[in-house]
Amino acid sequence: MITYQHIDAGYGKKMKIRDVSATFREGSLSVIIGPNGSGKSTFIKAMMGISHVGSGRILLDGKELFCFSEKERARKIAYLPQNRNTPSISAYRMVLHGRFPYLSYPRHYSAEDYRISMEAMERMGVAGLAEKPVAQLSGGERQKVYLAMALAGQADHLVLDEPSNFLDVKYQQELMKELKQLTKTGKAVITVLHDLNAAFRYADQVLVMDGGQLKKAGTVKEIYESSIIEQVFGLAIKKITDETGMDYFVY
Amino acid sequence: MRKTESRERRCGTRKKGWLVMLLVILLLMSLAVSICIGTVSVSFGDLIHALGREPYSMQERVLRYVRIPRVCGAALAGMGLAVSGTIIQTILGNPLAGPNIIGVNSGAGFSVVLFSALFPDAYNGMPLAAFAGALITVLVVYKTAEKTGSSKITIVLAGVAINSMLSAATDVVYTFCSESLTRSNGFRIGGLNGVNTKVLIPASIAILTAVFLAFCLHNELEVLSLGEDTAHSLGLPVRYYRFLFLVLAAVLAGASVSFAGLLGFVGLIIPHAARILSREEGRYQIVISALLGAVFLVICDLLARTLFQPFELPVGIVLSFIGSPCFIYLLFRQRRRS
Repeated sequence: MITYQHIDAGYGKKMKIRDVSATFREGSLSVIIGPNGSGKSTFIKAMMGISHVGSGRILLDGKELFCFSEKERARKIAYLPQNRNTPSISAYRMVLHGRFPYLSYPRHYSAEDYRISMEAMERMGVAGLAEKPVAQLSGGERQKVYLAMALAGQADHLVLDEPSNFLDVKYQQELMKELKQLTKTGKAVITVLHDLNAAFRYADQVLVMDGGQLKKAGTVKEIYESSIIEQVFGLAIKKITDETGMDYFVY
Repeated sequence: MRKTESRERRCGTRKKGWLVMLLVILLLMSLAVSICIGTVSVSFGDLIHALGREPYSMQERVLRYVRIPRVCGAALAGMGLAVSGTIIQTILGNPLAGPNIIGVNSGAGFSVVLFSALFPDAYNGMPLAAFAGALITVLVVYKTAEKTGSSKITIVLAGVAINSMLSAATDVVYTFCSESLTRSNGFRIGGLNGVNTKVLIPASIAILTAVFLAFCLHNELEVLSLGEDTAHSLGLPVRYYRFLFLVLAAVLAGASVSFAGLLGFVGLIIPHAARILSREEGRYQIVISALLGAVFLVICDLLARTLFQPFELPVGIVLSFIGSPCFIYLLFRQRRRS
């Protein structure tokens, strides 16, 4: 479980988010939405130690986050940043580096690391691409390989920054289903999304950010019934339920 | 399914193992041939003989005091520049960034020229001066790129600017200290005649240690290449390791430049070739660039010495003549691949 208590965070001396409090539980999918520049990325980067926390506390499983060493934190929280390099290595090597937090002396990945990485690739359906250079993969394939890398680390918390960027509609759907599936295995999944429809369809918890502040957090129902989306995005959102009972959100 | 995958992986590893073996044999052969052939040629038997006892004949003296240091120097400089290039390209995430392109070589070169103008007799200090020059330049280029957005082209442009500034500064030293001009003519193009054991020994210790360290840290290097945020999220202390690798790159380039002069291209094309041969795997990439760089420079030096015997070309010239077409070929190949 990750808890934010009155967090101010930003880069250098400039704080981009102010007084944010939130809780992310295991087994739940939390989606952070908000207009561009509202501080969504800064928000999740605070728990990765990438953005600078000015004041407040972040607790990881009840303990202050800064009490964990970098490797200990990496074993607990896996993170998929928005901007990623395309390294010149094979997909398998890349997934294997998901095991980096566990690497100790002698500095080789063990047979178990290889096995876990391959399992993660199989789970994401990219085992067949193992030997291919990452640079030669399509956007969707690359995303799955990145996700396999995050899974290989076996962290309880998975944090993603706009994972559906560059993906076509089919992959976006698959990705959201996969994330939902992961919460069933007991992981806490926290993701920034632009797609409100996807957010409302799959999330257990929705957090609405605007101007560096957390405007509201709650279940889909709570957020839908409040007028916060209209306030923040300037859009009215409407739920339509089809004959199979599936909810769609249009705006 | 899993079994076939792991078998494929093992097969790939075995193939690379063979490749490394092949390169080691190639290196030993090119070293032996290169030591034996030259203005004064010796047979392989003489070579073995000369190594065992005090040199008496002229041939043995040539071997011991001229040829062997020179050929070893070529191998070491090739190794140092190639591995330095691999590290710099990986850290900056930029296949265009060789130590000579982003100005690390000229930083080391300027520092050596200045140092030898100020302290003409202090041979031992030259590798240190070269290292300091290389390190300052690599940090300046890195910081510039970081501040200006670190796009791939920015790094190269920053490097070009720093390169031309440093070569102007080197010219200033030449203009004011005419004595250093004679010593440094071969230095600017890159040459291995007059490799001096006094400089070679400290430089070779630096190069071999740095190559070994880079090899041990190949996982960290690869994780850094995944991007700053990803590396950080995997628990790697990014700033610390990035600095460490830039220091290693500066040690390698500086030590090589301190005795071999401003050799271009080795640090640019060898990492490319090694990347293709190692199929993008960090551990092999470092070993293969080290070996390939050594073989390449030893062969270039052999050609430089023997093509127009008894006249000798500075090896930098041969390197550019062979290196440039190779590089253009790689560019075309890359284009076809993408």
